[in-house]
Amino acid sequence: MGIAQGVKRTLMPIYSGLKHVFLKPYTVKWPYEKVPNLPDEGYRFDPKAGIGYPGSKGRHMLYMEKCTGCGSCDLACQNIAEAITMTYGFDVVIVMDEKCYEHFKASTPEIVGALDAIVSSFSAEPSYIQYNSLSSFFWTPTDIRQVIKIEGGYEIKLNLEPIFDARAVEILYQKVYTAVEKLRTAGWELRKHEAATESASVELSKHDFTVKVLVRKIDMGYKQNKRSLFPSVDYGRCVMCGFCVDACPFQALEMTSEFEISAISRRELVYTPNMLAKRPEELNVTGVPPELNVIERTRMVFRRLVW
Amino acid sequence: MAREEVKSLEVYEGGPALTFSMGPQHPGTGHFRMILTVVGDVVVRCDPDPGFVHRGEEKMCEYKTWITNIPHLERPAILDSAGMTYPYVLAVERLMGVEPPERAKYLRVIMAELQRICSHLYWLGLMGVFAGHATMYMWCFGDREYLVDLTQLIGGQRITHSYFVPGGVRNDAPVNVPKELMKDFRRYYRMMLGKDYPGGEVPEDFRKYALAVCDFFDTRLDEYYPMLLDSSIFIYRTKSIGVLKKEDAVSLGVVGPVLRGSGVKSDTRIDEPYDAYPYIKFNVPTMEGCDSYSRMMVGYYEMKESVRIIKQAIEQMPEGPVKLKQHPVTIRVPAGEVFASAEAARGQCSIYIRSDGTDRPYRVKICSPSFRNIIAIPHLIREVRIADVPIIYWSLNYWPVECDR
Repeated sequence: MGIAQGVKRTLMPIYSGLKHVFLKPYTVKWPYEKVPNLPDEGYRFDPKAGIGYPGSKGRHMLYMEKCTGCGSCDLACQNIAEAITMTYGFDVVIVMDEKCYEHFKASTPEIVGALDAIVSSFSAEPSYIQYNSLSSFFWTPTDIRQVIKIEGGYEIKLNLEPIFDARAVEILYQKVYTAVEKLRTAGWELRKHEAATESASVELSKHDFTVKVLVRKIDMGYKQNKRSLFPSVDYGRCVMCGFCVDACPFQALEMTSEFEISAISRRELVYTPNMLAKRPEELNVTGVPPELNVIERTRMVFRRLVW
Repeated sequence: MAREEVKSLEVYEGGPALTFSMGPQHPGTGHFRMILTVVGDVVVRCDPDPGFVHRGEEKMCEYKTWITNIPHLERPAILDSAGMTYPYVLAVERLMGVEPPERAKYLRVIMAELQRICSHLYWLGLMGVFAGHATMYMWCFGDREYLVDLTQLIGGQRITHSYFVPGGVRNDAPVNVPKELMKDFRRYYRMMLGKDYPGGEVPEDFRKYALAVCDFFDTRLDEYYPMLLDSSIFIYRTKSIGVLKKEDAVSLGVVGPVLRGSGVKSDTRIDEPYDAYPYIKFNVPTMEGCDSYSRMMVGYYEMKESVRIIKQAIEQMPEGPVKLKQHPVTIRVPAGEVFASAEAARGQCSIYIRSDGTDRPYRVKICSPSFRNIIAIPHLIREVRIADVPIIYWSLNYWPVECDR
């Protein structure tokens, strides 16, 4: 009995393992193949019925035409992860008067140097990062030779897409102050400094030139959201619990099934309202990596067809 | 701790003794250290040193509101987040004096049992690795995937789903299962069992799909038995290793599979039934062996019972609302104090709450199962060989984060 049992206990594991030798392997080659086991729908919440709809809790989806900027999602998140911040969209412009512009066209070294310093500090990595600050990591530079005529002067717009932040002055601190410090050592004088939530500016002058850097709020033009205040989500902090979706009384916030939120730097994980307003497939952050060559792609397709 | 000097030689009775640390880099579960004193190959003393993953959950509860406590309360045991939030939700409901709708009770039971199986599979798989059996690890994690998918279909997340709230659950179960998942399950079924899914098509209806996964998992559990639990390697490694006698288990106050592995039939689901457990028939498996093997077998049989519970709950689940009408984020809880306990995967998890009528708790005391079981570590790891230490440690299913809270 003892021997028989011992033999059985030794051979049975080998037998049950051997059965699997002849079966086809199962491995899903992620990210080349997608993991199929996700519900397509994201988690939603019906505020009238007070109940959620089942779905994946992945990255958020913001409907900007429904969002009123009430900040309920921000309040709900404050006790959980502090991932959501209500943000305005900003433009950063350099404003010059007529005389400065004439000198700019004539390449006067002071003016050109000042503009160069401002633009280069704006495009460089921010020297100073406020803790939990939300300035967009991605921004598209404009052609700065494009000078727009405004009342009593000219302006140069530095960014193509809006920069989102909770406070305007934060953008000045992070993106412009390196240039301001540099210019002050070069003899420029800091004349005026405005640091408000919705707009901020610095005015620099030397001799009788005056250059102004202005951060001004963009009006997004939504009727229900006069202040143009929208949530930004920091996915370095978000725990995907979905209580912000529950808290939204206008069904403006939903979740999608996208979960592959990865980035090289922590600041890239901050999703601006414009990014949240796009569906995952539009934003194109996931999908088959472009470095995959044709043969590998074909093999993947073939493998799927066979099974 | 005064015994910081690692690897210091001292003369112990019977020969020179060596003191060294096992951990804190992952002796298996998480950051936890055991300070072992050995003479030759024999451990004469074990001094557990928890606290590497202390997060201050209890203090954090005092700063967050009643609902926003839920996401962080599941963090101590993410494999078993339902078990950790269950007592909290029950306690808050008792304070509020409300009863969740019937359907919510069944959904909670399904979720809690799914998470119990997932947690136990993790336990079984890692136990296999520690006993030198890597196949078990792969099998457990492969099969766990489909149970985790069920969790995700209901709760939206694989593990930390924040699904339970005071007054019910956050959303109903879905009606249909995604087509891709059905296809994938069919493929996995064929790969694992070597035959096609009976009847050809995997059901699209959620209830039927869940039952199909349960049936499949039950079949797989039968295959685990000859593979690991009845194999001679595993039996030689675990039989009569780490014997925790019945009277010791009771006097030390251990809970869960450790207590039941010592032959004491104690289970919160039976002793103080809550939610839908009174309406469901199931056994509480116990083993009389009192050793590591018995504890593991209790975990194995508990998975079988959980499958039974899920099947019954899915069949008995009535239609209706799943949540009380209330504000989704801000709820009002009257002043008072309350104590509630629920059976988490690792044993009884209890929570004591004191409320002063504001929007957040005045005090929350968590008594987690691993906190109750850590006392068995110095008791069991004594006069054993070093090679048996991981086996005994794992047979307790100790989870450092849950203990440190």
